Amino acid sequence: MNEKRYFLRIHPLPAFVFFVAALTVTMLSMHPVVLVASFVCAVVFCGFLYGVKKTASSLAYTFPLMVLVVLVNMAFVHRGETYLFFLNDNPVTQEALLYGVAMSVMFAAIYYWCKCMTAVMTTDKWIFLFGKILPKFSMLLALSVAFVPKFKRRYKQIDSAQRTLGVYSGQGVVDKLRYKFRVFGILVTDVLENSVTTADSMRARGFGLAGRSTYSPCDFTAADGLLTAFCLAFSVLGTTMFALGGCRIAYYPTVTPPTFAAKDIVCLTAACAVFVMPIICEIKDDLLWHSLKSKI
Amino acid sequence: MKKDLFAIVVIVALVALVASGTKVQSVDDYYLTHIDDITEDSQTVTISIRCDTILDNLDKLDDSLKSDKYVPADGVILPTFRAVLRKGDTVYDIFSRVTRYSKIVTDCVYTVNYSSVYVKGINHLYEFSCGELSGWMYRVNGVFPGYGCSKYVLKGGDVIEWVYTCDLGRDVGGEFGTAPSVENDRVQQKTDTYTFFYDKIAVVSPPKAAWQRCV
Repeated sequence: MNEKRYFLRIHPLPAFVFFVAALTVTMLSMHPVVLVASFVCAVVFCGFLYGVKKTASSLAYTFPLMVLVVLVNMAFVHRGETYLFFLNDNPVTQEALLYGVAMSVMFAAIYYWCKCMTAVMTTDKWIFLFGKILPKFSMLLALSVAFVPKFKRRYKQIDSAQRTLGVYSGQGVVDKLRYKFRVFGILVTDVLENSVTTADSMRARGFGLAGRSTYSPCDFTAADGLLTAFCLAFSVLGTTMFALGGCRIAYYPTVTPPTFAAKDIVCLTAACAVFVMPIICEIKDDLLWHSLKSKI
Repeated sequence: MKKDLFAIVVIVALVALVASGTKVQSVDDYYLTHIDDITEDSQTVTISIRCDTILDNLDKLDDSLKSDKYVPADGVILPTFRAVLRKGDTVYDIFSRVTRYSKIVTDCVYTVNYSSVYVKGINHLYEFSCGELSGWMYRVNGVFPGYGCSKYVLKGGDVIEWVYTCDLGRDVGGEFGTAPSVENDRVQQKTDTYTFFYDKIAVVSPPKAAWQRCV
């Protein structure tokens, strides 16, 4: 992960508000432009946070999943009036195909926003935001957010320990798979036990007791305030316009071609403003860094 | 390596099993159906499909369905149709045969909880398409039976009507729960034979119509 990134340095509040706004707006509308904009921006932002190589390789396993979503939708949903063929006396329709594509893009966009959120909203930030108001919830959230990287780390450790014990057998795919399952089983037990221990230890230290204060390294600057206001304003604008009937599209029984009336355009612009915001921030930060560097 | 070979054989067998349970037909093939000719000694039933109630509730109807194609101006989707009754035919048998013959689109799901077929949509009009209390119901000889259409065994001369309700059946005269519950002899007792291969997998908690959920 790229530690220099602007979004990793900002106050947790604007970061949290941004991700809530981006996820809400993405899930709001099935309008293809909103979905594609969200997907592209999420992937680009992910590229900034994780590096281009890692993001590109993650696309390689996201695409098969997207195709799977499309296929499942076509197999199970029989709505729509353009029939492609009949499968077990049930129609497979073009509308189900298109809806599946839209849905898969939405899923992928949400996946990438959440991936970015994992990078930006580290556990200390969750605790900082919610530790006072909802101590139990924030603790649970922090623990579960920390799970994935912890899983990865522990997996490597258990794997090498098992290998040195000589349990590993490398003959054939089935044996390899069984070995992997074995390691995974150990991993789950280990991590679950670990989380219980963590919770007990936190309680023993008096987490969530009234009157305790915590050190916070975060300053709420004017720029943070501006970002928060920006995200709030545009997501509320987008949501209101959607509620008033902007960016609506029906997929069944026929796909209505997306409209671009004034309402739709305001809704689209607001949504895109939210999605593009982090990318602009990162680019601006890069430019600033380069200009400062050249002066030295 | 023996295990690998075995795994491959198992996977191939599974794929073959799924493929053998899958029937792919082109649209033309699907509609190439034959319906029994009515002869002198054949028993017949009549079936009709109507959606008049939507015409009184057009404000609640989904925007994408506001068209003559989906809601005919007179509310008649299938005018009264006389069909030959084969022995042991249920309402669903007649319904599926006639709609397929008349090229009316239907979307039915085998519902495990009720071990019967549930009709989600006819002619692109689905449950919940016209408000949250809407959906398809059927009555036989003017009575709403109150159980699934693939359980109701027909007798010659029965009159089947499929009607769309926008108000839990109240607007078509058959509020759920008030139906004279069961004339048991008409309910098919044997295990249902309709297999919707994919839907059976899909329906973990089967979709229920508004009136089923209210019970």
